[in-house]
Amino acid sequence: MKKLRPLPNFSRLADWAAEAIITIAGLAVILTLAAMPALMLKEAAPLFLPPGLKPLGKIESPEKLDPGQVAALIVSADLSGKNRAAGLLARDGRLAFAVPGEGGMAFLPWRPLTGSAAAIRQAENLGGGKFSLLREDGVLNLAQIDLEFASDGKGGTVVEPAARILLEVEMGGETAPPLYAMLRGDGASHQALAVYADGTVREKRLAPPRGLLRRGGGIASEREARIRLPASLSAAALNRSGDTLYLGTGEGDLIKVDLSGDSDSEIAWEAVPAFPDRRPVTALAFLNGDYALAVGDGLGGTSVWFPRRENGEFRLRRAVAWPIGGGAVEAITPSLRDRSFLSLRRDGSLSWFHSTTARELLAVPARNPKPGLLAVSSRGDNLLSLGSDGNLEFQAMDSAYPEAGWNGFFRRLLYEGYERAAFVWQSTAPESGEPKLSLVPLVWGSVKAAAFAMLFATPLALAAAVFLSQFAPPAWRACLKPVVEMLAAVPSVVVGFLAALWLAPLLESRLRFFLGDQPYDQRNSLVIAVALGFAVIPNIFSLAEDAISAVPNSLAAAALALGASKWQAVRGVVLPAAAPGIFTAVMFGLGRAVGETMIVLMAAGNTPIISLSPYNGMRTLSANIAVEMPEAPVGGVLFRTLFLCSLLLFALTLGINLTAEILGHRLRRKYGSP
Amino acid sequence: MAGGNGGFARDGKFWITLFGAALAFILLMLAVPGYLIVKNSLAALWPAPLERVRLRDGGVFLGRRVNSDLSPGGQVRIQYKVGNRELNASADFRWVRELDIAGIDFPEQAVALTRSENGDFFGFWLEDGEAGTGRPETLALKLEDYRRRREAEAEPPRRRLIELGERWRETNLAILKAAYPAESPEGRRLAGLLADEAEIKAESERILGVFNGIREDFLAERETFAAADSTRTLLPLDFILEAIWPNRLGFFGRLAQFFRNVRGLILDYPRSANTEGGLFPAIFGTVLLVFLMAVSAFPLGVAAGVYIQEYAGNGFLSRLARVAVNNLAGVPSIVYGIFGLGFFIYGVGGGLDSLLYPERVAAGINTFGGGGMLWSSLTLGLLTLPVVIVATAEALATVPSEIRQGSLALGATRFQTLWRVVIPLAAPGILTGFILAMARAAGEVAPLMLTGAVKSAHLLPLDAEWPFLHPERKFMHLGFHIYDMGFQSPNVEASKPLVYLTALVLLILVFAMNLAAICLRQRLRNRQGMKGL
Repeated sequence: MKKLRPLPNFSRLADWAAEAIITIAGLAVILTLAAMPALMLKEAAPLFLPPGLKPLGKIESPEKLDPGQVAALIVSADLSGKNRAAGLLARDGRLAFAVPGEGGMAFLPWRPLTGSAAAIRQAENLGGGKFSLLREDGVLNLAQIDLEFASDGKGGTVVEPAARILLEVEMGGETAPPLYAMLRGDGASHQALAVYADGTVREKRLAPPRGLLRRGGGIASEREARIRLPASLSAAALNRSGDTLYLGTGEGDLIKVDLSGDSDSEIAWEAVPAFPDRRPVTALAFLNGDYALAVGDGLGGTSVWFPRRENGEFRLRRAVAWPIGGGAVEAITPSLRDRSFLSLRRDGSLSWFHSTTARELLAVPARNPKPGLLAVSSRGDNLLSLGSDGNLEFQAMDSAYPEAGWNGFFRRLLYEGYERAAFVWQSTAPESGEPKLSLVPLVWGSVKAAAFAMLFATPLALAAAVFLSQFAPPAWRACLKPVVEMLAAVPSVVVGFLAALWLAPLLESRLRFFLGDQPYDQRNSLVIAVALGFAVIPNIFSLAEDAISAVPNSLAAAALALGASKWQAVRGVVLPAAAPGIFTAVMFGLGRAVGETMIVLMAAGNTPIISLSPYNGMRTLSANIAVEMPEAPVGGVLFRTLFLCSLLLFALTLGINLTAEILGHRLRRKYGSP
Repeated sequence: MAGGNGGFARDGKFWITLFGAALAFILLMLAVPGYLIVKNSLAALWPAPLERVRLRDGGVFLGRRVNSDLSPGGQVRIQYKVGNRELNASADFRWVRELDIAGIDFPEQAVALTRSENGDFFGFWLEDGEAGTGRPETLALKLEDYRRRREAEAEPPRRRLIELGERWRETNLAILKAAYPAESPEGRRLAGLLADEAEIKAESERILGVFNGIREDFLAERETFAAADSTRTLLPLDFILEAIWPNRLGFFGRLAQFFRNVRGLILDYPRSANTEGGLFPAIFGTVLLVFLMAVSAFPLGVAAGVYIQEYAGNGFLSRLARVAVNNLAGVPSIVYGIFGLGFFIYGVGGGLDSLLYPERVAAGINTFGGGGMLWSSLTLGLLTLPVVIVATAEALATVPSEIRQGSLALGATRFQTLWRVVIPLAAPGILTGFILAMARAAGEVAPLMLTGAVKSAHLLPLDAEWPFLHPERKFMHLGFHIYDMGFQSPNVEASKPLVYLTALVLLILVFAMNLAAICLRQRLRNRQGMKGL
């Protein structure tokens, strides 16, 4: 016989260790549920961060030039954001560059930019280091001013400023030099445009340079138009491709000049009285994308205009307007990366607007010394300003995700070229296109798909559950229930593939006959109703059948004993008693339908439209993630928006499941059933 | 009238019938997919005879009948697989109205070629390029002889090239490592590696030259074939994987060919942009994925289930854990995919990469920081965790508390009671949960799309190369294969038969696991019942 021994230490240790491990595992599950939304929130939160301007330091401009003496500023930064360089083009044609060196930024000696000796009246940054310069004598220059950082081959970056004149075109008028003049070109052929005070618009097209010396090819063609000005000109902007010119007048008119077509076609123009109060137009600039025009006026108001379709014709119309104040707008500096721009007013106050979402991203109050001249780096992350005291100031522009935010995701927006404000999802816009990130069509798609599926599945599943548990012979139950439940295991990818490649064409060929010419997408809501319904029927059926079968027999028996028929007993006693369970079953089915991915991805057509028609498809939140995630650059606005989509989906399903749980619990208490 | 209504409302016959019809409709709906998949799969595998169809408009083609239906106009249409993709503008299938057919015959000499490119070819072999069709036996012998020679001559250099390619890749990674960081490279090691690389490159080029020479010779061996309409085409023997004469086969011949086709489906690699060939890598990937998922998720799931049922008591934490599990079960699978992408791939994987392979990160090469088998299986593990936890908790709940108390009363610790008494009793339920979780995991696709499933992966995640298991590799998956072939393929129509077959294989896999779960539950239950006696 064994003697009872005290518990060995090992056993106690094992007991303790096991408890620790098991508790950790249990808590890990709770943690996972918390970690999921936390991670999605972490990725999506930056979308809602406010943009910011962060001062990075000041340097004195050489000779303390004040903004009036400077034609243009140039700023660039390397990818790390640690190194910046600045350039300063004085009106007298001299250039000064500040580059990072030992002991901080330092200006290199002045260097001349050769070309015409006359002072520079206007300078316009065309991107890629190209500048269009108009001199006082009417000569137009294309200058190349390089200030971009390049890799030094040792893991660092280096900047080697360089500047030269590429082209010179005489644009002097018969009487006076032009008011405005700009050069456009693609490196081979060029286009020079001049606007004169009397309303004359003259365009010269230059042939590609030829020969070893690559001399200017000379004027190939020339055309001219005389615009009847409603008032004197006060601002002008030509787009990048050089086919649309906007002019503003001192009495609130906007004139659109159409320069498209070859040099034989006539220059068409159209004047729009933009401001009924006849406030002067003081600044014009094209936003990134070459379509929308930012307009600054004499009262400090800023607005965005672009042609919109109206009765079949495109008309220049105002899309957004921000309030007035702060004195006339002196300059508008568009970002080269997105649809945001800076508007500088006379009192020195600065506003950072975003056109698509109609938001003022940031308002910088007037300060002293007031900034007089601005430049934004090509990646839109650095701002250089020249103050009235002759100091240059660097600021980091963190525009965050301007196209995102509440407005971007959930508000009707007037996108460029659209007839009216709309909810649009179109993330894969062409380069410099306008990303359209409205989540409304996606939420609509998820809701519509789920609604159609539930309309199809709920009556069928519930009717079948009632029949099987109450009216069918008991032997059926033992056999059919596992069969239906096993079908819950059919992979949704199989259901989706059959729905899309077999059901959808079949349905189309059968319905075509009845529908005639009605618009009909092959992959539509009817297909989704059947396919997604198919997927959720086993879930609803199984849970509802459990709930109905769990009603104590005594209840129905009592009803039967009182003389009710079987049907009356079921309808009057059993079903009300099972109602909480049935409700829970339907809600869980709904949760599954909202989150299902593969079926809708394959059979819903994935067009993000908002329509009630059963003959249209949809794009759901879940399918959207599956479609777009593989293409989304990590950390980009699309990437983060997709995390937001999944957060929404998570919240939606969590809400449905919690509702099911809580309401089901409450109903159960109220009706006092199992 | 009123009485009649009352009676109708009383016995509710109408509704009961309707409800019964609903059940019947659901069962019918469930039968349809099974029928479709099995029918189309069999049609794709069965070596049906080749019909030579003469049309009233004078056209003629060879094809295998796969389908027929009533067109909306009320006419019988027949669908033929006609193959010959390069001659038929890439259309593998052709619908013909029965009305348009003038006659059908079954030429004995019609040959069906399985090719490595452009799918199947149906036609006739012209011996020596002559008009007369050649004898099947001669072609079969020719092919056999050709393959033997090719195996002997071209195979060794090909294998050597693959080997060299692998060595070159490894050497390059080693060079990256030796050259990092740029300020202090391991000079001597680097020089040695660079010399190695040059050597490998030189040898590769030499062997490639030899191989190309041999290959060209082999490609030059061609035979003339003619389609039914006498269009001739010269096919290199190299492209012909299999030649059969379906119209010469008897029933058992067909059956044998059917099983050869099944074997090919399971054991071959895909060909022709996944529209032809077998499913081996996809099956392999699916099974390995589910296995890794099980290994990673089940211990945690069981522990969490034990916590909820046995350790947590009835307090706030236990309720919270239950709510968490219930809600995790309702989270859409694509959300798990996003979580896997954000947490495992970019979080853990990216961290591992910068820790283990900073030189590769600097060169922009992902190892663990990209999608792969490991992250997919962990994501699936998370997804199936609720199934395992619920099954475990339920199984533990069925163990009567007297048994626990008995064990504790005899002096066993809590863990000993759990490990020796409670878990063995609950094992059938837990195991059933495991298998159901595996079945669920095998059918999930959405999370894999974000975490590492790809349309084509030539390297398996498990092979004979050290360290045998390569969890960072991307993989093929049956479910993803269905999506990819049916929706991303350049030739959806041509890949349809294979999509049905893939669906069939996936369904068999999933249902086999479900059935196994049911059987296991039953058997273990019975055994336990006897032990109890």
